[in-house]
Amino acid sequence: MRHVQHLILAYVHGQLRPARRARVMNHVRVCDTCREALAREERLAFDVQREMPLIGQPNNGQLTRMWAGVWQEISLNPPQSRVRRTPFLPGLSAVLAILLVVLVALPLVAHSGTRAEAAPMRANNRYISPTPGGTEEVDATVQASLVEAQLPQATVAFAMEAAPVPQTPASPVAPMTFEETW
Amino acid sequence: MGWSTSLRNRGGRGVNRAMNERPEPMNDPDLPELIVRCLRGDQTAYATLYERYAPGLYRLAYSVLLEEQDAEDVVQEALVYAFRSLERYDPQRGAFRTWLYTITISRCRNARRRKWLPTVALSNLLNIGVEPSAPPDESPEVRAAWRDLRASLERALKTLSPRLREAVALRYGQGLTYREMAEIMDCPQKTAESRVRLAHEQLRSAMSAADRAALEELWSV
Repeated sequence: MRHVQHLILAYVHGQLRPARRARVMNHVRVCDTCREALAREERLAFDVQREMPLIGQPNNGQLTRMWAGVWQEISLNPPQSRVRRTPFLPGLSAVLAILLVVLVALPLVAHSGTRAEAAPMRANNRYISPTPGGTEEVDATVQASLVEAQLPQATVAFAMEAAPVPQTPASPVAPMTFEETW
Repeated sequence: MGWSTSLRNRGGRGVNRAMNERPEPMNDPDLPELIVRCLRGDQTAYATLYERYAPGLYRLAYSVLLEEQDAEDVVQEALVYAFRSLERYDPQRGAFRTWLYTITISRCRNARRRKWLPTVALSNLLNIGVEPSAPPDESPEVRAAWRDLRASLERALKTLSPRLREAVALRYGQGLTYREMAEIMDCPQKTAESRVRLAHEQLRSAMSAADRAALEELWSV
């Protein structure tokens, strides 16, 4: 006969599945030890169940005091104002977003295109094109455009410098390959 | 059949049965309407909700904190938060009562964190609450014995850890199911069940031999 004392607390607190509950009930019919243990735990649990709801019953004075505090807070900052705003909030957000696009984003895009056209790009374009024989022409054009644009002289000097020529390859293997080829 | 006989019979059939047979949590058919009225600023609706739930919330807070002033503060805080957040309450996610209990337990934990709870005088426990309702045929001796037993249980309750006290307060103070307890205590249901069993064991251990003898004697009357 297997005792069920390890199941008694779970039984008392209604935590067992039907099969195990039946096992406990069947066992305590024939086992005095487990029956006594079950009765003892049930009495304690019953007492707790009976007494707990009676602990901390608020009196009228406490309830009145708490209500005064609650209502003071609520009346100072009523929640209904937020609720009234709520139905309009999505529509309002959409309108604001559209306005933002129309008033800010679109003018920015349009203005950025105009500014690109107005920028003094001619000199730079000519300089960037790497034509070895066209240096004189580039210099003359650059000078002319710079005079027109009235750029600072330091910028002119920088613009007229020749582009740096890459020297040796970065890899150490490259020179050996070069010598063997020749 | 006397009162003690009636108690013996009830106890003998199992507390689990009594708990399982208890009515379902209170339904509030007028709750949606009350909430709508509250959101419109109707003070009567707020007062109705308060009258309906504040006593239970106070009992819960007091059972956990064992301090009157702290319990009052917690209930006030919890209700102000709940009333301001009424629009966020979703009936699909749980009962309104469970929602309120969740807020209250959370506030109780915050209050515990803020303040190291001092040892509560027994008189605090004894002075609070109403006398247990008893059948009219209860003799003065039996009534006195129950009062002693209650004092003993309250002393034992004081020795529980806050989490175990929460479990006992929710299960036996408020009559919640384990699922509701788990939701409120933010733990698995099995954890809620084991906390109740552990609390039971600790309550038994905390009761003195004399208390236990008195309990046995009372039950044998």
